[in-house]
Amino acid sequence: MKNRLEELRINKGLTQQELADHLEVSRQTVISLEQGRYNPSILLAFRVARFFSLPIEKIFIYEEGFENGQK
Amino acid sequence: MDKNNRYPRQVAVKGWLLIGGAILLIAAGMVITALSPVTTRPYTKLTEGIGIFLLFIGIWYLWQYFTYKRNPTSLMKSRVESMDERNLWIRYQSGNNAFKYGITVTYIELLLSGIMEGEIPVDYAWWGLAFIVVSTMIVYIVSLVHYEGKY
Repeated sequence: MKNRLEELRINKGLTQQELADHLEVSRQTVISLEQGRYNPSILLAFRVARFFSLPIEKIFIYEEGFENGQK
Repeated sequence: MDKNNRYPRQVAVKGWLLIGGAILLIAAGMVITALSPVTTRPYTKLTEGIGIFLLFIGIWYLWQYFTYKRNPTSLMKSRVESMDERNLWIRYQSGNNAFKYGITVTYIELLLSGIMEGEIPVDYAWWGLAFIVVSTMIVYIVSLVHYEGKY
């Protein structure tokens, strides 16, 4: 699943560690999310959306064919 | 009390409870050893062994707590790491792999034991069980490393 996390983080002037601290996740999770290697849970997706004050679908872009597992 | 203050307190309580439980088990093991016949010794040693294991875990919790007292950010960082959903997911997947492996190998050992109709020498049985425990742990660790790299 693609997402705009890196773009939004940079626009907000945050480092990966700072974003991780706000979301209460590890920096490695932010890195994996930005690289699209890890799909967040619905709870984390909501936390991210709330943090950036955007709807979830404006941050995480669903693509057909990636229904199962990660990526 | 907010969660930032509650967590260190929970760690300290867990540590003291484990140490208390450990002392009880070790003491019980020693008392039973002193009072009981020699044939029960392996079981009382097992009780003491579990006590010593719990003692180390308790000390580890308390060490975390006192490290937090010196440096409050350290424990919160370790809390975030331990509750991090990606880490939990990786641990869950690795545990799942280890469980599937462990159950398969145990089943094979049971089949072998059945084929040999209970004639399996105690030494071989012991080494077989030790192999299952160690190799299951290796499967878990290899899975952790694999998923850390993949996700």
